[in-house]
Amino acid sequence: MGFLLPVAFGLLGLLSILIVFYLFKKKFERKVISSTYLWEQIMKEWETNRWNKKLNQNLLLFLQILIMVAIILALTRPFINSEDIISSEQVVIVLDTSASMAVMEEEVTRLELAKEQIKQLVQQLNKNQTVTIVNAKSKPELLLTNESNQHQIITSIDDIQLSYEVDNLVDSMKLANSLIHQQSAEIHLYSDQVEKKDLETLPIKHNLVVHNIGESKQNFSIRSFGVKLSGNLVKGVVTIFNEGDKEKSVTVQIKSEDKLLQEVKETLPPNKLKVIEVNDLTFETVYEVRINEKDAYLFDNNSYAFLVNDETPTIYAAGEVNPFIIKAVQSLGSEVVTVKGDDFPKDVSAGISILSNVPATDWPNGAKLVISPTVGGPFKIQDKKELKYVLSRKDDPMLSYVDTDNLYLAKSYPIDALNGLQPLITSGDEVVVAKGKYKKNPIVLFSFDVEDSDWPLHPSFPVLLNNVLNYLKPANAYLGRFLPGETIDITYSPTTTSAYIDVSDGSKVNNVNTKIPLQVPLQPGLYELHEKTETGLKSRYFSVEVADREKTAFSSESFSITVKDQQIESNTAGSIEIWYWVAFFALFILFIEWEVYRRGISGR
Amino acid sequence: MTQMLSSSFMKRLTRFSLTTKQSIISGHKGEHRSRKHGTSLEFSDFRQYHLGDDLRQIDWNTYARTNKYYIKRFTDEKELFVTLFLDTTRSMFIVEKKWEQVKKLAASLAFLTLNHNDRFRILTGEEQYSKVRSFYKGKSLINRVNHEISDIEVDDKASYFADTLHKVVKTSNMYQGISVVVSDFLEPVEPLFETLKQLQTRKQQVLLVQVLLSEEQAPNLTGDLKLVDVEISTSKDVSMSRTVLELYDKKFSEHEQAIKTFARNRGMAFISCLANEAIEEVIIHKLAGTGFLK
Repeated sequence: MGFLLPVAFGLLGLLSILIVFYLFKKKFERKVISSTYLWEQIMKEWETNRWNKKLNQNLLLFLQILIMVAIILALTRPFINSEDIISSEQVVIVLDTSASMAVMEEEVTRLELAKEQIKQLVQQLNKNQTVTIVNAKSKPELLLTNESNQHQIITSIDDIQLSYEVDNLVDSMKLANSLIHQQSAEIHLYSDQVEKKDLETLPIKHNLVVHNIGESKQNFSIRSFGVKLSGNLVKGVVTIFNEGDKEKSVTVQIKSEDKLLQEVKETLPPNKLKVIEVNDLTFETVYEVRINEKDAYLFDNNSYAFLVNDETPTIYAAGEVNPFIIKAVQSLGSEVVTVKGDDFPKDVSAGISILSNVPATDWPNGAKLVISPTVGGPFKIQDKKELKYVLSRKDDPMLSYVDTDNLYLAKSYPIDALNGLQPLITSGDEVVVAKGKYKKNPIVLFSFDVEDSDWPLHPSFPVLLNNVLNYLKPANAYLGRFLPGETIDITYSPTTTSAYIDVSDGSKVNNVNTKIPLQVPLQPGLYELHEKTETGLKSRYFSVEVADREKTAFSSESFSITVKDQQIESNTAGSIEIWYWVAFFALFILFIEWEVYRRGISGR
Repeated sequence: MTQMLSSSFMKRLTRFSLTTKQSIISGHKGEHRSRKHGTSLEFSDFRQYHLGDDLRQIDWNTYARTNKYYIKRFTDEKELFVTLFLDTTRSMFIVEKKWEQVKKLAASLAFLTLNHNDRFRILTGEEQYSKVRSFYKGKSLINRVNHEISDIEVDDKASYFADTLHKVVKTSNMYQGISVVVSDFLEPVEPLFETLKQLQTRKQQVLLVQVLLSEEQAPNLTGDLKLVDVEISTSKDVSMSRTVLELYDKKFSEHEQAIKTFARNRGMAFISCLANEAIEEVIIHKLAGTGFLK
């Protein structure tokens, strides 16, 4: 046994009023008089007074009838069905949290507006109605299933955040449809650009109300941005779309990290895509294009680009490079271009040079693998000497999977001045292989002649070359451009211990689990992935941008689709029951009746 | 005695006497002229002499003038029997002033009667239980009567005066004279009227004297009261209001009217006075108005 309306126990407080009534009951003071003869006669006449009696009788009767009627009415549990009230038992809400919902409407985003509307809708439901919420991300997410607890629902709604993803309404709608179990259900879709034709492919079995939040706004968005190396300079191309009826003048800035590279002023014709070319940009790792003016939708007003790097850079072999090496490099998939010793093409810096017997003065810019170094030079190479000791190695990522135990090296060129290079393989005191930086470019030094070793015969030969090339490759400083929340496979360096992402302006830091694929942050922007490795901190950039499809602040009109078959007559789920009010009314009349009755008695 | 009636009042009272419209036929010699021809000194009329009449009664002057024998007849002086019936129910004693007034009335009537050499007695109702009261005659007994009056106590056993009066009248000897009934008459009147009628058949000239308190005539009550009857202990819950009080006035005057009508119809006299009225006023004006005072 339980109580459906335990709050009615509060009415017990009215008992106190009743007791107070009786306390204040008419107290008759005793008075002794000579004779009550006359008084008796008086009261007889008083009572036979027609006016008094009739009124009292009738009034009491009337009141009691009223009470009866009110109680009976309350027992029938009447309810009201109103137009505004949702009458379905199950309400499914599909909410679009894509990037376009981040457009500001007055002071708040469209998503906030949608959340407010949903909360208002939910608050008018009663406990018999359940709510299911689907978050229409690119992969629809189910937030609540068949929940009728108002508090729970409101909390879940408050927790919804923008996902910046591309909305996937079709799949979300399919999910919504599959969640409906009751006969009477309706779906409410909160988005901004849904048109009837978008939903044509879906089977609509239940009433559907589409709420398109917000109004179309003037918006300019950067549709694409790319940079390319041309000669020694970088060229950039930006396409901007002006969504709106008016022509807009904008200031377009190309920046790199906080450095302003170039600025152009352009006028954008309405509803057109404009292509802007920017030349003569300096060589940087990351480029940002930004529209200075603010519009309603800020996430498509900037974009990032990186200079495209070939996966496999061109290898320039200069001098008399051992054919084994060339063969091995070619088998690794790189293109080898043989160059004459002192005649290097201009864009060698983009590739890797393998130099054999090339004097240091002729060394080109860029990453180098120097084999058989000439005497002298920056490292003070000496004449070849015989090695006495067995090779020993240092632990280095470059030597991973390289077996140096059985390597035989007869002679090497001693290095007198390492100049900051890191020795990797040594024979006694002699450094045989070293790596490091020379003039800001990575360099690997094989201070021996390949002919003096049996190395090409070892299976670890191509492995070492590969490692060297990887080391020498201009750091792939750019991971890529991703959609919000995208999951990507990152190859971490083998010795990475931990990694974290920070926003390029250094504001937020998120730790990253290196064992699972990386999930890119939701908010658009420029990020850096830092890896803590044994050799130091490795950083790579990546950018998160909203999908092209979301780069619009357009908004459609709301509409609703009703299913003809679904005409449930006695839809009682969402009605308001008014029997409470009737019962209270009856109680009130009861009080009045008591008072009249009491007066009636006391009058006698 | 002086406590009850002031000496100045008593002096005035000496000039008055109770009288009756009815001629007194019986009784001993007193001071009231009776229609009967008696041996007083007052001339009444002449009658022709018949054989057997008393010779001493022949008026010789008349014979001298008319040469016929006439007897001179004299009015007889007879005594008046005044019985005072007092209501001793609790309602009379409810406030001291009320009984004081009754005592004053009794004293005045006693004085009037005894001063005129008539007979006076007071009957209250105790007779059925104890004393038998008899008539007093003579001025010297005024004091005694007064004492008796002041000794009268409330009759706790009685409820309605009508019952007591009835019993008293039944058990008493009635001599032709005046019966004065003093009460507040605040009770059902019908039984009382019956007894009063009986009094009249017993050859009494009835005088009704009503003594009331001002609050009995016009109650100034407010609020919600439980009115308890002092005599019969019934109670009535009444919520006072202007309407109720107006109704009381109406009922009261109806009641009074009933008594007055009854009295008038039967040739009884009725006077009503308030307990705080001056006794002089009551006796000299109101009583005089009835014709009982000479």
